[in-house]
Amino acid sequence: MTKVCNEIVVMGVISLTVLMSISCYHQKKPEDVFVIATYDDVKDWDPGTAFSLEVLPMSNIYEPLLWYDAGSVPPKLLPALATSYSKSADGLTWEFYLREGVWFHDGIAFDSKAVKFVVDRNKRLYGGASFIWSAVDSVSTNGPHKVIFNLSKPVPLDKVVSSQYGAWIYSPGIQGVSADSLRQGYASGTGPYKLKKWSKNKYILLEDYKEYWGGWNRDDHFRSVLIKVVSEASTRLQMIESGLADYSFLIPVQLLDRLKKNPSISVSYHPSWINHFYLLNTKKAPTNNIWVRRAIAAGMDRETVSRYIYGDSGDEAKGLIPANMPLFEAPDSLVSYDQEMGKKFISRSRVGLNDLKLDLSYISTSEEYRLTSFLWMDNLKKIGLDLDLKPGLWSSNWERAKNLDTAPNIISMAWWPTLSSPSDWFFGLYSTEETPLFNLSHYSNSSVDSLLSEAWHQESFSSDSSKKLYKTIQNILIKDCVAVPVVDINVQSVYKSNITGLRSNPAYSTLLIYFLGRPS
Amino acid sequence: MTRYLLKRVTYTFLILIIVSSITFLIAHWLPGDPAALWVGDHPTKEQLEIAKKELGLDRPIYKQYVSFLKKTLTLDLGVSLRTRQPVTAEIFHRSAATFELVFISMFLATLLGLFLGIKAALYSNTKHDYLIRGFAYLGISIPVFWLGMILQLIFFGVLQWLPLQGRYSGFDLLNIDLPYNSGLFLLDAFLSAEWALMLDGIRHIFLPALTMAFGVLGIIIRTSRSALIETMSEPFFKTYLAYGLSPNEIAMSSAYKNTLIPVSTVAGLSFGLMLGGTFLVESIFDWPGLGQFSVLSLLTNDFPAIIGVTLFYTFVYILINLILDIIYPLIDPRIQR
Amino acid sequence: MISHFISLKKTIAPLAVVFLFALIVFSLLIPFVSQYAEDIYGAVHFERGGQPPSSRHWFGTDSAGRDMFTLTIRAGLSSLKVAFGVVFLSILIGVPIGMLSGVSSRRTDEIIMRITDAFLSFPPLILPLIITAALGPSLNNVIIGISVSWFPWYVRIARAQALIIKNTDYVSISKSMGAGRFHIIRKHIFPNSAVPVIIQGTLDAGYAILAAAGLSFIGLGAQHPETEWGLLLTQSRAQFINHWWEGFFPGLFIVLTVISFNIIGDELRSYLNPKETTPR
Repeated sequence: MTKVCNEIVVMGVISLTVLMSISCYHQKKPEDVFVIATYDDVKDWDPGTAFSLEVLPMSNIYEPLLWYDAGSVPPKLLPALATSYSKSADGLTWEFYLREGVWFHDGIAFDSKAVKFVVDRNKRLYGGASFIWSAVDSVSTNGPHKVIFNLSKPVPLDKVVSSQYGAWIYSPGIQGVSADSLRQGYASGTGPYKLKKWSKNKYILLEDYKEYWGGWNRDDHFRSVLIKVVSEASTRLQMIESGLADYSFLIPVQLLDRLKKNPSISVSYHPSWINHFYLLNTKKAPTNNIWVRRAIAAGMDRETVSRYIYGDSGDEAKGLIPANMPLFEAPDSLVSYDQEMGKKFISRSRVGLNDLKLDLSYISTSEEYRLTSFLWMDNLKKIGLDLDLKPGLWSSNWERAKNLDTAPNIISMAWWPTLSSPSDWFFGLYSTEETPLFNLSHYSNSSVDSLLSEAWHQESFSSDSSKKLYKTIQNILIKDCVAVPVVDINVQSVYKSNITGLRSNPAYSTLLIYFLGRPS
Repeated sequence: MTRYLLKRVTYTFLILIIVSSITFLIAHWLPGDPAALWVGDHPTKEQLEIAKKELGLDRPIYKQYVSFLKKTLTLDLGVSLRTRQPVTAEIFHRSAATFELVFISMFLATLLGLFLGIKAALYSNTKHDYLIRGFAYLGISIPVFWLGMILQLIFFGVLQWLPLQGRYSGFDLLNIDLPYNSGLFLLDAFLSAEWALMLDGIRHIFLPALTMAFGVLGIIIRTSRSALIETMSEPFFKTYLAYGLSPNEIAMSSAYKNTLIPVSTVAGLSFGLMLGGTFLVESIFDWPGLGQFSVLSLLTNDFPAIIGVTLFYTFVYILINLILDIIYPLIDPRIQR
Repeated sequence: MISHFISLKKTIAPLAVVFLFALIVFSLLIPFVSQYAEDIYGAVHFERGGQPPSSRHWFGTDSAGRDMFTLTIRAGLSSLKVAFGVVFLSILIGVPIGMLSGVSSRRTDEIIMRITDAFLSFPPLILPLIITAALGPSLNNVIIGISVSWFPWYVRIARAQALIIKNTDYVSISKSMGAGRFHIIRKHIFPNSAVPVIIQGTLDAGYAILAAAGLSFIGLGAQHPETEWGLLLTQSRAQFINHWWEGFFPGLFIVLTVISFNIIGDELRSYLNPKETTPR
């Protein structure tokens, strides 16, 4: 009678043994290929408008005029395609001296005409990060190796040309490329790697550019780079575990412990210019009442959030922008976590008990946002505010938040700058917008607008005065309680331990493979 | 027979029309402004108006409905608001992963279910019968997503035998381009004689397929058991017994045929259950199929995609049942219609 | 040995009743009994997050430090609410339509049945998914969504009963005596449909709980601070590989509850009308 059970057991054992026996399958991978497992593909091959994950391949293919090195102390600008530059006393005329003997991948020479072409074209396309050039009136050339920018107002152009998007210098050869072949994958820059093959939603293959002007200093440098699009997080995990990938993006936190135990894999966190915060809607009841907003801010327990929820991946925020950002100075004070204070704010708001209902929309796929919302909700309840949680995907949250009719009172945000200036946050999030794009507080304050443009202009003359202005702006925004800061993010890095040369530069969300190698 | 067939097909067509109407109506209630979702980042008033025209949202609902029906008949399901790809293309390239999973699970479930059901019937009211029936109870009562999580915990978390999720380990794209590319990964690997790839695929599909199979195993066991028990009370069975054949031999030689009809009816239903199960199982196992696609579409109110997948799933489900209806008379000539 | 199992079979149905009864009682009482009762209403305690089961936290705590035992028991209330809600609503919609269909002219009957068939042509779970997405995520909308996809089964049962009874002698007699259609429904068909409807309802309660948990798992059902087993399961996902207890217990309770409903349903069926079997 035990036959039935036996048969099943035998079947089960056989199938499991088969599965087990092949679990140690490994495939050899060439040592001089650097394989990156990432979660999504390039959407836009035009370096003039690309404004997203394109930064990973493009920052290895293209170069800007200057690099911003935020990893060194103090941060500094490094020569890239420009060897030096100077500016006029009024800050309106900037001259860049260009590197000689540089050729684009398509064989066209890099010169001042190419730079003029790129800036003019980017301005004309008016897509992606082209706004960085808005202060540039005209670009003129003076010989093949000198280019002059004429500005309408003084701005720190050295930071503009080192921006992580929209500042790549690409070959004028792009004019002869049809829109269709651009869509099929095209790239011609001056960088150390050139695009060899792109298979949509599968992989991008880069190959080293033998004639790279910087030369190849490491004899163990990577001859090719394979950027693989792997949407499933667990597959990325398996790739790095089995040695099929050298670097992987976005590994789920619960699987990191397992990787940390693996001696051939390094897991580390390093500071970034990303921060997480919440925007409060200033036009919608009851958050149009400043005392309600202050009460909400008094309910945010930043210490618990950074300690228990973010752990290694976040530090308590000290202001509205990341504290490691150049020109950051902590604001006079942040609204601190204080329930008693919160209750006082509520009573000062004179909003009826029945109207103290708020909603918060956050990104449902993020465990950190979820737990932060739970904590906040609990604290606000003790203060007397009834918070309703609206988890959703970013695209739909954003959609609703832009329109006042459907906007929530509070929305979770993450921000990182296009160029290395605090102004990026304030322009993007708090300056007056007729139809809000990222100003999801629907906030408008003319004094913030004018202080902001003043601060941005001052950046080209005196960092001290612009630093003070940014502090003043933060103080105003905190007084008006437009945003509730939470944490500055440390980004995760998961890579094979035998890779050397990795260093963090918060100014660019990418990996510069030129500096990497695998010593044998 | 032809008349029966004709009647069935007309009837199916009628059902499909009603089904698409219901789907259209429900999708019309979906919150959010599709036009706003469509124009994306920098919407101006004019762009919104243009988008509304493009999507046909400015016309009265009955006109939208008529054009929707017309388009659906020509297999034009519109463009996904989220991925900006034609819905038909999205369904086409994702359905392979889903069907691979569903067919393997169906195979597993039917094989195991029939086997256990017949055993339970032959040894009815013994310890084994009770064990198997208890198992079947568990099968119909267990939430598939929980089972999937528990299996992940055991086979990935504790034993570290099988991968957590995904469809393959990722070495397929490194330097191998399979000569066969049907989208059915296991089949492609098999035809291309890439055994390592195929084994890798099997290791990945094992847990999700087991999870899906378990979800319908209970029904199949119970149906086949009760069908065989009914057969065993029939005169021919008793006659064979009188000839000295054991119940086991009779079941294996002839009686199992009588269980095929009810089991195939239930198989049709199980297929539907599995399609519904893909929403949950694919999310847990990160399986790049239609279920995962529709969950994302639902969460972003991507209504063309939602309508598309709903209609596609329903169509497949109806089709399977139609096929089963047609082959009944072939399995069992006693059914004459 | 066999007698042992038979006696087990006899005790198992009462056990199921006891389990469900206990679940109702405890899920109602837990706010007054548990020292972690505030967790039900959304209180979090990160300082004690992620603890494995212990004498203080029988089912451990989740990442937010909530007591999983208290939450899991309380979540039973939501699931039972769904079970009763769905069955009640499905019967409310389905039975009148079915009885009407049964006593109507052939043509009306045909139209009603075709529309009903169309609802049954959707693979299970798809209709509830899109209806709930359209109405917005909440437990009540889940109840509506599942009921709308499920009422056709009751239309069928009620219609079948109506057809049988319509042709019996005593109905023909009352008809000949001039009784109206609604009189016949009320006096004859309705009382006779009650038994199969009750049996079906018990079996469907389990289905409703499973479907609702699935919808909550995707994010379309109950919302924090409500507790529901599917929701607890989805909240456990981010740490499940490291903290098994967060998802294990809510799932176990789904299984136990659904099994109980199925056992009771089966027992009722074999007790009330031993002949009929309608496997789903």
